[in-house]
Amino acid sequence: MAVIAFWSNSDKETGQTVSAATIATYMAIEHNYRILLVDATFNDDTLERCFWTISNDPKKNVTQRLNKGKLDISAGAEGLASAIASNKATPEIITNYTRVVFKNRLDVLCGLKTKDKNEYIKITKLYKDLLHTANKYYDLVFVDLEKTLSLENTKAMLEEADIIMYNFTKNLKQANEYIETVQKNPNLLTKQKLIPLLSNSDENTPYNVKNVTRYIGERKEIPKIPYTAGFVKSISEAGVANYFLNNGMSGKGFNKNSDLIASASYACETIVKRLEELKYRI
Amino acid sequence: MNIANIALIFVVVVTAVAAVVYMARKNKNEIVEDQVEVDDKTYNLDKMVKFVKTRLDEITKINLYDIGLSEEELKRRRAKKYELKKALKGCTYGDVNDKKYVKELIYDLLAKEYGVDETNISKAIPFDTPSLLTPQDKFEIIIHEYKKTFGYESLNELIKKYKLDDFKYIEGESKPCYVITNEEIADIYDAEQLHLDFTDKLEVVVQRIYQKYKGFSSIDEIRDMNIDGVSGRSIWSSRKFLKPSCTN
Repeated sequence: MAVIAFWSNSDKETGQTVSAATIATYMAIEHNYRILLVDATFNDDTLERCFWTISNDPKKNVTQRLNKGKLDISAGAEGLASAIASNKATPEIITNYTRVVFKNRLDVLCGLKTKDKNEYIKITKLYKDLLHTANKYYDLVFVDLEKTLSLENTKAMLEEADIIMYNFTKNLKQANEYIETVQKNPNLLTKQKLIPLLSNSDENTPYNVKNVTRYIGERKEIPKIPYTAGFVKSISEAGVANYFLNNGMSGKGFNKNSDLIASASYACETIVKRLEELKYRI
Repeated sequence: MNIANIALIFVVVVTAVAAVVYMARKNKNEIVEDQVEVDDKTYNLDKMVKFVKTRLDEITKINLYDIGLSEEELKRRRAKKYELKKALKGCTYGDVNDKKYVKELIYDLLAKEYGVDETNISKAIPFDTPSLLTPQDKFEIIIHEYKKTFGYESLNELIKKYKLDDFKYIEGESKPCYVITNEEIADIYDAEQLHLDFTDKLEVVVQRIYQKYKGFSSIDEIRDMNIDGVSGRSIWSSRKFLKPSCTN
């Protein structure tokens, strides 16, 4: 149905991956959508670590020990890229290369394992086709993109996206970067596609969501993902899915958890509304 | 509960425990080839073909029920295994997509598991020493490079560019014929001045392994080109056909 890209033109920390994981998880629990979350970043396993613990020691990795390494080949994003390169990627087979967070609700396609930038570029050239094919099977495809526009592949994927969530944190430099990027790329970052997202927000600072909204010239309050200590712990302990299940889905109340849930809910609503608008426009 | 029942329960429990212990020991003693043993012959083509054959056999024959996967994971792995099996079967009938898929897999196996890199790839095909390259090596390198630009029109372009379809006389024959000689291939190789990076070299090696293992030997790449067809005859039968007096 739609591709939603999470991206930022700043090469500094913007909370982009965590925002993607948060919104996709909330959307999967709260809405009846089949969602795929794609990690298209280079040499970064943050997204995978949001949901699963990664052991780099093969002696501790139970699956590897049990299958003696016989199944690890042609797995994950690399395997899917091979299938796409050989025109074998049907919408249905994409699920075979993903990992399940919530059955029939949320699948994650983990990032490429390669540490070679050239190989990364070579494989991500196929990601535009991947998104196109996945979009036929899943209701929503969330993709966490490599930051900045230095790679052509990122640009290609942004063009493929129906909505671009531009991430920035609570500081003036990144807000200015957002304004500058939008002005410089009017064809890529159109008003219909673009949703600014304030990550790691804090209402007690001058760069709270209301002030930032006003500063970047948006009329309606922009979505945010607030800094929440409990949630940060969940991210580092592979507990993003459990966080939402354990803390309930109520955004009412005045504690930090309810603020996060209310914010995730508002971000999801904004995306859904924008998709409706796009549908009518088409 | 009488004694017979108790004895029966005891026998069942002991058998089950023994089976579990046996399976655990068997798994423990299984040789895990974590690292490929490296010697002078490790990176020659025959050894690589053998490795690829063994690994693909292992991947397609592994019993997924043995490794304790969840239902969903089992379903997905089974589908992937089926996909690979289908591709391995399809490529023998000349399906281009299946061939690509199998070649990608062989590429991954060689690069990530077998440890083929810039330093040892020349042991398979001597890319760095053109004088040691066979006409087949040279032809496959040329076709690989042409394929990047012309795709399935590579052979046509090569023939057109170097006028290889001219009617020509060859040594020892009284009549002219259509033939592409070793010398012509060597001249083209010299004229093209090809610079291969590691990926290109590995792709050439992968193609050679593929055509030895699953493909159609030396005509494998030619067969895929946009041409009317490839017809072949064994040397023995052609000699007999041309010279009926020939006995061997």
